[in-house]
Amino acid sequence: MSSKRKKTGPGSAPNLDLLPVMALMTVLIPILLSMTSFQKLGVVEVNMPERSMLESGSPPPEVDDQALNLSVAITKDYLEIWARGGSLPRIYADEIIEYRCGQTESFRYHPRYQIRYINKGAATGKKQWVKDDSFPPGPPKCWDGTLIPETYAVGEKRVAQQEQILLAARSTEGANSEEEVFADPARLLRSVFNASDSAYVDGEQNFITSKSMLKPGMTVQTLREGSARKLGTQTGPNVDDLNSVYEDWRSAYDELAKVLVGIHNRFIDLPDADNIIIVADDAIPFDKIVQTMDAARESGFWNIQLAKLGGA
Amino acid sequence: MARKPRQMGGEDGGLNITSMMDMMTIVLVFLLKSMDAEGNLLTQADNLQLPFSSSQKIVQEVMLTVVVDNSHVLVDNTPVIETDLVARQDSLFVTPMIELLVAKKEEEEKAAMASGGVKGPFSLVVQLDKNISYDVMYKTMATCGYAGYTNVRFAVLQRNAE
Repeated sequence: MSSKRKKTGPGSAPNLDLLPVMALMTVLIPILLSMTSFQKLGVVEVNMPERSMLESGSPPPEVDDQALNLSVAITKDYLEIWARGGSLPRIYADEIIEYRCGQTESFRYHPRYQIRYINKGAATGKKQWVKDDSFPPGPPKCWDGTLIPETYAVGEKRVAQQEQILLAARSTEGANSEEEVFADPARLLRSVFNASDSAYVDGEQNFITSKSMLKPGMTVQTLREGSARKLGTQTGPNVDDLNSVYEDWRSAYDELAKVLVGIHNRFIDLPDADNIIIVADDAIPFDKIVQTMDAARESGFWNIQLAKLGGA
Repeated sequence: MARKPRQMGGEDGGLNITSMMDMMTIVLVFLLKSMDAEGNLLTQADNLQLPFSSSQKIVQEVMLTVVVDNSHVLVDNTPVIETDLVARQDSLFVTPMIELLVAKKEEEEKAAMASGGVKGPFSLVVQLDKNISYDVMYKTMATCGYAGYTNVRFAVLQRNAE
């Protein structure tokens, strides 16, 4: 009896029945979608005094002259570090806010000078912020001219999202007064950042201010411990190193972290070497507090307490 | 002459789903990569922009959440007081919050006693908008501490660390 089975040659491969696999995928994808987190929520901890200490009546603890007694004061215009009853030079800074309107490209707005900055390198995935000459001085506006309000009512749709609040450090060199420090936009300091947005410093812990200072094969580091690395050579495996770095305004939080790292290393043996008190003006936004706490924690000060200016 | 019906896809009229399979495989791999097996214990409140932080700590257990947005202070999703009023008051403690927080703490104490667990230290998570003033934040925190919640944690959006 001759077989009626269909011949399968090289040109006629049997079709796989993919429908069960598709059915499985259709079930798996919604499950995974529900478990996917695109933005992870974390927490920062602060040390709170116990209730008995909050109640008035108990005398304040005696001041230990040998202790570090480190604190950072945050005001609208500067950050100031205090330790052992003395203060270090102030870190003057300006707020620059990064907005995103809908799905469009983000932009930066400098409230002090009412200037808008655009990222010229956005199309190529790079960061190259330049002044937007088409923007007339005034309050922040989206690309379509919609005014961005300072506050929103309950349930009101946000016109723009605040991506981040940068605190750009300013140079005080040769300035005789605060007015002089803030008068000139050219006093905003620059730094070179790596692809992870960390500022580069050299072996002497000085900030690298220009991309031209970086050479292939040069050893650089960030403010994080153990971050020293050699930049890729033109033929080496890390040739992208020099392509991915970018220049931007230097963050006052980086300036703060640099000083705090030095203090922590110098006074590591003191019993309160890990303690820091963050003191702020009433009007300081919560974002600045969190960024300062980050800078303190990354510099080795894990025990963070909060206080108010004026001693409340 | 009868018109011959047009055949779609293969010989037997089935759809060619190979390209769709390719797409599904890519989506599946992407979702598997970004899946969070721990789940989200904490969900971001509406009308709130949390600050970014390099903190890698995540919450293990959330019993109580206090939310402070531009309009209200909410304790466990219940609006307690307007944020403006908190900013304008001179007192360090927000009185309407204390009553609710103490009640919640007592509930937690009872639950801990019933289950034979150890009561305290009591903790809560505070979600504050990134533009909320330090004054409001400090008063909220001090009130939580006064009500017995000494372990206060602030919710943040995690920024990718280097």
